[in-house]
Amino acid sequence: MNNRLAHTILFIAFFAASSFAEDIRFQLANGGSAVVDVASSVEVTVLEQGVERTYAGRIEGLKTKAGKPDGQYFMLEGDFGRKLIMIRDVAAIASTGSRGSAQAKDPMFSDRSPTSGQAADAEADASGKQVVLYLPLEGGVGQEFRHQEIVKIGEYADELSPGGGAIIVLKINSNGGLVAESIKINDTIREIKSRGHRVVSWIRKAISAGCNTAMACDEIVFNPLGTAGSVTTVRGTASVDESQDPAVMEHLIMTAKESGYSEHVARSMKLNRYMTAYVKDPETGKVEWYGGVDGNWYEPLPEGAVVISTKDQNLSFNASNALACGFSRGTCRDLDEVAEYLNLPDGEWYVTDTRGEKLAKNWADTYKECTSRMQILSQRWQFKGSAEGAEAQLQERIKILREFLYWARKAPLVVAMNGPFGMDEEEIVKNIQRQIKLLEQQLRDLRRG
Amino acid sequence: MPRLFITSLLTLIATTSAFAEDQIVKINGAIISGQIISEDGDAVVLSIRGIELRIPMSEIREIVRDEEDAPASAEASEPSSSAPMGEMQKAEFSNKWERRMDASGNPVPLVAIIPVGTEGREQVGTDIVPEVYEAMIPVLRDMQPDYVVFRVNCNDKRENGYWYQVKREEASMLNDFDLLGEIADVWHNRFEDEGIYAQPICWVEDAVGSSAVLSLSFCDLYTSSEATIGGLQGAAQMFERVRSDENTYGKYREAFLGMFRGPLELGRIRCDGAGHDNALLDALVYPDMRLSATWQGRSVKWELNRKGSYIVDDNDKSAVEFSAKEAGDFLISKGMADDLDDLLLLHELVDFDLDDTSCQEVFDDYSEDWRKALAECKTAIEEMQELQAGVGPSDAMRQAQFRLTRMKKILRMMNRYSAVALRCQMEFGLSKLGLEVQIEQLEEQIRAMRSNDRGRQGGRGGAPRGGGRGIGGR
Repeated sequence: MNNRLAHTILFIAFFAASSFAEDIRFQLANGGSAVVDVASSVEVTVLEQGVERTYAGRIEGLKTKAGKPDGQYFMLEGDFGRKLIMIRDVAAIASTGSRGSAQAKDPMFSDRSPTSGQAADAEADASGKQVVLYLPLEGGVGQEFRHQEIVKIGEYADELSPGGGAIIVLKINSNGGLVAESIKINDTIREIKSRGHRVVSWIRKAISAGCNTAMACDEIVFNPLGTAGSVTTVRGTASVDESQDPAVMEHLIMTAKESGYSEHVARSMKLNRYMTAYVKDPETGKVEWYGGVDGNWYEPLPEGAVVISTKDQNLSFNASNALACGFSRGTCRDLDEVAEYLNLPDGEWYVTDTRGEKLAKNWADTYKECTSRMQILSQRWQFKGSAEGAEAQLQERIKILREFLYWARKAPLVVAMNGPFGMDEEEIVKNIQRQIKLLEQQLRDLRRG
Repeated sequence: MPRLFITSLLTLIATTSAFAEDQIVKINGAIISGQIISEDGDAVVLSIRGIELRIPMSEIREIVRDEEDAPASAEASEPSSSAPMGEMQKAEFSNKWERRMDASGNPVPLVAIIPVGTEGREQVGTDIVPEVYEAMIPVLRDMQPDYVVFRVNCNDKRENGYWYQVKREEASMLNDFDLLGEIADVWHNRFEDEGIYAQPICWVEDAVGSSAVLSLSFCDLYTSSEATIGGLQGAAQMFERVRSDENTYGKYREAFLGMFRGPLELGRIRCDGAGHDNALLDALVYPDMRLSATWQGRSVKWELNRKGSYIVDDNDKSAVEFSAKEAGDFLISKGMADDLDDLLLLHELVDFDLDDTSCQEVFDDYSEDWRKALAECKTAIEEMQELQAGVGPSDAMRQAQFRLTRMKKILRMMNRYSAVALRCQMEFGLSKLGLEVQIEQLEEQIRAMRSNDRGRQGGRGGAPRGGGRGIGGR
């Protein structure tokens, strides 16, 4: 069963059935409703992690089906950029300004017009079926789990659903990894979101940099076995305090805020001394967050407050407490339950094309082969050819370096992490090329006698 | 071959008129036979082989008393009573898992036993791995049991150390802490996905180490009278090396606990919210956590402090552990049973058929095979150690070939059984990749020795190979 939060909007219905309809009635859970002209500017109040925020802008890419609100959303474009808004999170909505362009005539697919040469998109639009892509991200961030695959899945989404509206599900199963790569990943996800796509993370394990990635997405859902948090930056075995490097804390807080999470959550995930608690209104489901440091709460905790991180504890969520406080929006044990959460037709899982899975598999295979070859090559360097004399050894070493060069071009970060050539990707290639030249020179000298 | 055992005593009770008893027909269709010893408006108390079972009236559809039922019972049991037991079994179970009908014409529940360890020496990470339980899926799908009893007899400390610090995937940079989640996933999700809809029951004979976590993923948990649930302190010791940095320690500790809590989280979802609390697990793992309990009706509220009505653990030197009695007192287990009949009786199953061999065979086959392979690896390693001490061939070429043969054998076993790879890594520090490189290096040495021999041979007169006096000619 899907344990979705059901605290929001009941459903949305079309006020007029015409394909050129512009007025839409949002019918709210409290029995009220609001009629808005989707072609004009609107002001939307959204419940984000229990906090109401108001945004003004123009609706684009409205995706809805009467009677089935869960998982439906629209893009709002305003001074703040583009933001994906889940219809169930809308607390209030009202028209505010003049009509916009004719682009937004069809509320169903207002910003998705097929372009020539994009057959897949045309087909997707013609069938009216939601574009869904799936990318499993598993392993170490910066190793098996990279921004490059996310960039590509974003490009596929653009191709299949120009102007936004695709759903990209990222399965996250990671113990963490490199901070620098994590920042690149977050930037990539932010860009994809800004192009109007909806990025959903489905967490099996999102530790450290893995959690940072999950928090950059529009929404988080958990596998029942899932866990997320523990984002402390560690160098060697020493943690990095914000006084040493404020950027790491600031980056996580920025990510949290952008996605509507409390900054207390981010702080508690980073360093033990920050504390987090919340109070949930049993009727409205609204969550109020409370923070503190070194054993002192910034404001007194009200009765019924749930402390999720003490002064001695790093914050890490499991499926149940993440759902209870709204960090997660659902718990899905398999992709069929993800489909149910996303409100896909008939609640059945599908992907519009399988390039996401292929991307993941290709890179996983490459990574596995590269790390294995790196270890073998490093060992071979010690002995290969030595029994057959200096010339044979030089020849073998040149061969080994050429293979290192191949991998440095194909998987630069893996070579940087596992090889003896330094960390700068461009420098690594130059370094290997220099060594090859040197050995070739030695070989020539040897042959000349 | 899988065999089907009938719990003879209970079957006889159900099918022989001489032992006809009162029957309680429950709302869910289950029929419980015994002697009614008392009843009131709230419940009926039934005596079954001396054990008293209280059945609430709200769960009872019909009470069939002995005197009313005797003629029908005798009639129904006539064919059985006139035939020897063996023949009856043969006739009724010509199909391996064909269902037997009880006196009322209802199918008798079928119970399958799934071993989680057998002799206690079996470990999570080697014997108790997802692939063993995946291998049971076809058997269970054919069998379609009504109940599966996960019989836990596992002590991680008995044969070797914990697997926690070992990488199962060598290519991975990270230690593998996910194994418990993967096993729980097979038990709680995969079985159902594959069409096995049996009700799970966990019966703990011993759950020391990771199997304690797995056991706590079941809400229907029972123990034997000698059982222990605990022994997870070893898991906590992994991060001692970073203890001096409170944030690094906090990060690892919570991340690890998050993964360990997964099976309990899944268990609670599968039990519609019932199940075991994360706080209980936290105290089982970390010595510095206090634990107190407060009884709230038929459940216990656990707190990682001393505020509860009963302080369970007030020291910071050792993690909490529960004996069978304590597990019962704190409602971790639903009861104590020292044999299967008693266990199933506690679960209100009186008449049932039992398959305790089919899954056991799958488990034993895997366990025996990899242990045999590991023994061969150990012998090979010992032989190489003896060679180093001067036992075995004396010339360099033969020594190299001796080592090469044994290394290849070890690699073959490691590739074949993940348990062997894990144990070789834990016990001898051997990795598959490391071994592959050593083999390559040895092969190169052998080639060089052959080449040198040929060189020496050539230098001594240049006789073509195979001619004259041959290799090493004098």
